Amino acid sequence: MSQSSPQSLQMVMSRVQRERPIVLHVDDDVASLLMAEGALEDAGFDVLHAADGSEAIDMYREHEPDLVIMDAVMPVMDGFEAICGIRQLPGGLHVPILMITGLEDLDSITRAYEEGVTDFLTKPVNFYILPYRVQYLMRSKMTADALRVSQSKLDNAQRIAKLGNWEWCLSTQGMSWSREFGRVLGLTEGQTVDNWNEFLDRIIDGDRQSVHVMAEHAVEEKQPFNIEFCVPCPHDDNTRRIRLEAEPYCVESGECTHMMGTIQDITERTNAQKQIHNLAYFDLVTGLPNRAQLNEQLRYTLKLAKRNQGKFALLFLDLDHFKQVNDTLGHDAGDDLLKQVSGRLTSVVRGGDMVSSAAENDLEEAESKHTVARLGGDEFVVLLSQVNRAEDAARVAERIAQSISEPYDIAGQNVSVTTTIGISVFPADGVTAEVLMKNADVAMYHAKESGRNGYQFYSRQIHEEALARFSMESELKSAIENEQLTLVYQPKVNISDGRVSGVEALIRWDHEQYGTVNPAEFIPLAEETGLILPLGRWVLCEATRQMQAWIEAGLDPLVIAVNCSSVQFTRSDMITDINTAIAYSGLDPKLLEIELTESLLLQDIELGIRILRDMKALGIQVAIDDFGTGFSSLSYLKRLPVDKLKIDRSFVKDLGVDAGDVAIVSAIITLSHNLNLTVVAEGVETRQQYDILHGFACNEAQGYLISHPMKAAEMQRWLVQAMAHHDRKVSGL
Amino acid sequence: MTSYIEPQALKAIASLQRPGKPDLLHRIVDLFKSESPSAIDAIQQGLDADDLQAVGNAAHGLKSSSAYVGARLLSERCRELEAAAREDNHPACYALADGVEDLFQASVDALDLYMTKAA
Repeated sequence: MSQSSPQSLQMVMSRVQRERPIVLHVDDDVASLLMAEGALEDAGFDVLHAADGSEAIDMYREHEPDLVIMDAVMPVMDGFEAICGIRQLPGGLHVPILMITGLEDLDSITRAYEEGVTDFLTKPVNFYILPYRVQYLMRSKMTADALRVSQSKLDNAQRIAKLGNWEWCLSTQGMSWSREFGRVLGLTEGQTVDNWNEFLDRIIDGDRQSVHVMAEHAVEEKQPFNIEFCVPCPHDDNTRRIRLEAEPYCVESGECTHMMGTIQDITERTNAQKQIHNLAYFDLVTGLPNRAQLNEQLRYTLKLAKRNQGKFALLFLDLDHFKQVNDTLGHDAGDDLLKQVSGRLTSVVRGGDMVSSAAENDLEEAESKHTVARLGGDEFVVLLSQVNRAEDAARVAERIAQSISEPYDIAGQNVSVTTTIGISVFPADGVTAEVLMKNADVAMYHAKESGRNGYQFYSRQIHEEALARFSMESELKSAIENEQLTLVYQPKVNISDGRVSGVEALIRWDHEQYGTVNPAEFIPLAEETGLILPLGRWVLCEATRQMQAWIEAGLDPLVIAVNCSSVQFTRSDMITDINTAIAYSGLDPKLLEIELTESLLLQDIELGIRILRDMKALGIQVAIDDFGTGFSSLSYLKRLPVDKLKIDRSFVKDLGVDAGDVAIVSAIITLSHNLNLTVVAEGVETRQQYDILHGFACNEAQGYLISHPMKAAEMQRWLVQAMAHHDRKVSGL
Repeated sequence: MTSYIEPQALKAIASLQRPGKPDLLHRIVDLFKSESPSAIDAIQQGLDADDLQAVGNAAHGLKSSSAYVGARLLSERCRELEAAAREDNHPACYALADGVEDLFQASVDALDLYMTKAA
């Protein structure tokens, strides 16, 4: 901090004021000297005499007088040369020099002024007035000295504080500033900042705009402002942090003419604050957040979760048998182990797929807020600030346990430890930080009781549910990998002539233990875990392959409908997947129909329209599934390039029972026909429903009345029969 | 009667007198009387040696010292001589230098008279 050189301080200290200031009178005319001497001594000065310029310089060097009276024309060395000499002596730059000259000699007056004369007295000198003139010069010299001292003190103060001041003229944009301003900004010798824009140019890219905007606003509002920003450091790659304070300067009319302010280099202060913060909030051994930091993070997470009705989990863990490592290998080894453990914890928590990947966009944000903290000893806490499901926490716990149990190299020794983890989940296991911490701790002790190197949720129910879902997830994964999923098919018919119009492919999971698992159970799980993507691709390929197989087996070509999940729609490259399926199967694209729900399309209507257009360009058909259950935004409907609407089964169910549903179905059909859309009624189960739909000129029907979904072989037989039957009807057999 | 000395100048010197100090007016007048002849010699020598700068310098000094004691005519003559010397005007220098001696003598006489009266 203290870089103040003694020299620069010397500039500040004014010479001690003499009780009787010394006047050096230089004149070759002894009478002049005599006459002046009396008057000056009476006025409180001590007087020294010199008879020529050369003697004057010697006298000056010896006595350092406070003022010099100098005759112009003298033998040996004249006054001009003497002034020039004195000005070059130490302290001689600022001594007042009063030159006595003839009125007639204008050239010599000009010359003397250029040599640095302070004032003139004309001959013949009025010696009565002389002392007053000398006193006046002394006073003005003291004022100038005081100003210089003050300026110099200010310079020093600014240099010590690393604070520079500036003025910005709003009419010319020009800037003026103190020396320290340049140093703070890192200007090198000769560099200047002449206007506000040049000043802004010194600021790093990321900060420039905000300073610009803030200043503009302050000028407009005539308000003071302050801001912190960084400038590049001229010596290295670091930046300097600078705080700027500014105030508008307004004239009486209210017009703001200038901004005035300071800039201060606060790099050291900011670094010190960071260091203090680090000491207070981070663990010295591992560099992880400590208990204080964790508590703060926990409070914040709690507040956020309450507001957003979110979930988060606390993992409380310690190392099994850590004490043995400390006791046998020493504390340094123990510290080393703790450091390595922290590293693994951090990388597990940062690692990819531990949180449900359904909302990948939120993932990064959520990840950055996860906290690994060391409470002390061998105790750590992992705060997962956003989990969608308890098994997300279980998965992290499992990975932590796995990672921690890998062997360590501690000072050349192979060391193994395991960890036991207790998990509490907000809000199920507590709604305050204290309770959540306590319950995670309790859960850890339960886990220890039931054998170390494992994890345990505080709530038994959560624990079991998590395990169940967890196992279903891994089973679903292997089911997809092993192609244990199958497709079933449900036919649709034209209401007008009863002919089969198409087939919808539906997925089924035949589980070894549970039997057939309903899509409503595993599709949400597949969507949350991202498994829907490979699953969706498989369905597309299988359905198109099957239809092409039927066609090749001699069946009439039919449209095959495939459902598409919102996750597929927004996260995968649907178009590529469809293309691939068509290419592999060889199916005519116009025989493929993709069913989408309206709510999916309305999530992002522009994106929806764009993808739909791409689909249409492939030549495939698009149907809106479950129509009527969402917002059914009719205004958007006409903008969507779709071919079909499928009326949701809930409306069809009460046809003939509920007049309202009749009206809705009728309206949907009329509207669709006006928009040139084909209408399919889903869930048709009775003849009565079928007849009403027929009356409304609904195009197609699907449901148990026609057929249950069937496996491929059964479907094929059904189709053969239906087609043959129809052909017989048409041919009049 | 031509006034070779202006009494106000001498009064001004006397006014600078401080109590208990040597008589300033006497010292100034004595200095004028003792120092001036060498300046007058210098003027003459300068003319003899055709060194007008020396003439000018000597005239410059005498111009000032005579002005202080109120020898206005002498001072005025020295001013003209100095100016002529600086302009390198030889004839003017000769003409102006001729009579400096007389003016000095007349001024000294007037000073002596004034001092006698003042005493």
